[in-house]
Order: sequence, then C-alpha cells, then structure tokens
Amino acid sequence: MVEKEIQNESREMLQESLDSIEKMEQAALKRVVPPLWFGASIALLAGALVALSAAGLREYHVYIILLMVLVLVGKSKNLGVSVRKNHSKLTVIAMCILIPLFFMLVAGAQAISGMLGNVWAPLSAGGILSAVVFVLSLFERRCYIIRVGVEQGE
Amino acid sequence: MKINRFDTVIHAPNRLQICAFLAPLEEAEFQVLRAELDVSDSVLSKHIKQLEEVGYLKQRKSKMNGRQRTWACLTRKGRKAFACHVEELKRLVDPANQSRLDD
Repeated sequence: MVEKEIQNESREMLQESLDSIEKMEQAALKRVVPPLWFGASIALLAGALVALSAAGLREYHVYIILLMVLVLVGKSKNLGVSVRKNHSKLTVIAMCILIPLFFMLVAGAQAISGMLGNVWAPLSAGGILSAVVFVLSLFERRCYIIRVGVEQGE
Repeated sequence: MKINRFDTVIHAPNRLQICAFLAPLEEAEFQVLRAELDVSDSVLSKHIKQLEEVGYLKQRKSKMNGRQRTWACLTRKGRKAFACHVEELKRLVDPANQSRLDD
C-alpha cells in the first residue's frame, strides 16, 4: 500500500516535499541566530569577570553572574523556540581555549600589575578576554547565517 | 524497492513541516509553529496530536506571566523517523532511482 502511494507521487512532488523541509529548517534556524547585542553583552561581562578577579574584587562576581543570567533569560524569553544543544568539536575547542585563557589572564594581570598599575593591568586582561569572546560569538553567528543561507542585517 | 523508511505519518504536508521546523530545535512554542505553518489552532492541534499518538512528538505546558504556553518537541523516535524519511525522499528523487519508480 505504501509502495503504491509512493509510486503515485511524481518526482516533482517529492522534490517539493524536500524543498518545504529545507524552507522550514531555515525558518527555524533564522529564529535562533544569536543577536549581535547578545555576543557583545556576554563578551563585556566575561571581560568584567576577569578584570574583577585580577583586581581581587571577587565579592562583585555574583553581580556579574546575575547579569549574565539576565542576558541569557532576556535572549530566550521572547523567541518562542529553544536551540538544540549541539556540542560540536568547535564548541569543545572554544571552551578548551577560554577556560585556561581566563585563569592565565587573571594570573598574568596580577603579575604585571606592578608594571601597568592596579587599574590598567586588570582592565587590559578584561579587554583581551572580551575581544576573544566577542570574536567567537561573531564566528558562531556567522555559522548560523551560513546554515540559514541568508545574510540578514540587525 | 526499499520503502520501509518512508513514513506516511510524517509525509503529510503539515506534519512534514512541523517535523522540519522542530528538527534543528530543542523545542518550539505552539504559537510560533502556528505562525510558521500559517494554519489555524485546530489544524495544528490535530497534526500535533497525530504525531504525538505515534510517539514522534511530545508537548509540555509552562506558565509565563500568568499565560499558559504550550511547547512541542520531537522525541528521539521522531527525530530518527524524520531523518530516515528525509533520507528516503532524497533517495527517491535521485534520478538513478526514478526509473525504478516509473516501472
């Protein structure tokens, strides 16, 4: 019976089905393209976390983490969709770079604070991590846009 | 001809679109699905129920700002069935297989 059903459908109809699948998958991906403001906010907050750690102001960490949670909630609140967690090789590599970099920057900033001063050394370390996180967020955004197959402005 | 991967439950246009939309996502809200498919609540509910009955989809209800929201997601079985169905469609539209279809 199923065989007969398939045979009755022409190749064009089957191709139409494949096209509609592609269209819907792209529509779904379009909804989850991370906005620029999200990458920028997370980058700034990650940088602030490093700067505060390097400056020895760990009591303020909780505020930064709360702000990060707020940014994450704000991003997902009105989407109406949630992204499938796909821990690709690239994500693992990014985490392997970011976690040691975080501690290296904190230790490095503390070590050179005598040279750059107690303000500039933590700020520089924070700035470096912010830049790295922002570039990674742009890269992730670019990956989504390529998958969707369209260039879209903010 | 190998046809056991062709899924008639999924192949109906609206259900195919529901599965295609949910495939790259963890879950999607009912209202979002309705807007993307451009169908009425009742039509969408009917198709969701059919997918749910065969175990391809599950629903979850949550409350936000006092408003009830319904979320739908593909189950593991649903994802597998959808992937197999797409693979089968691709195989069938392949010109190499078309002559066998026409026979």
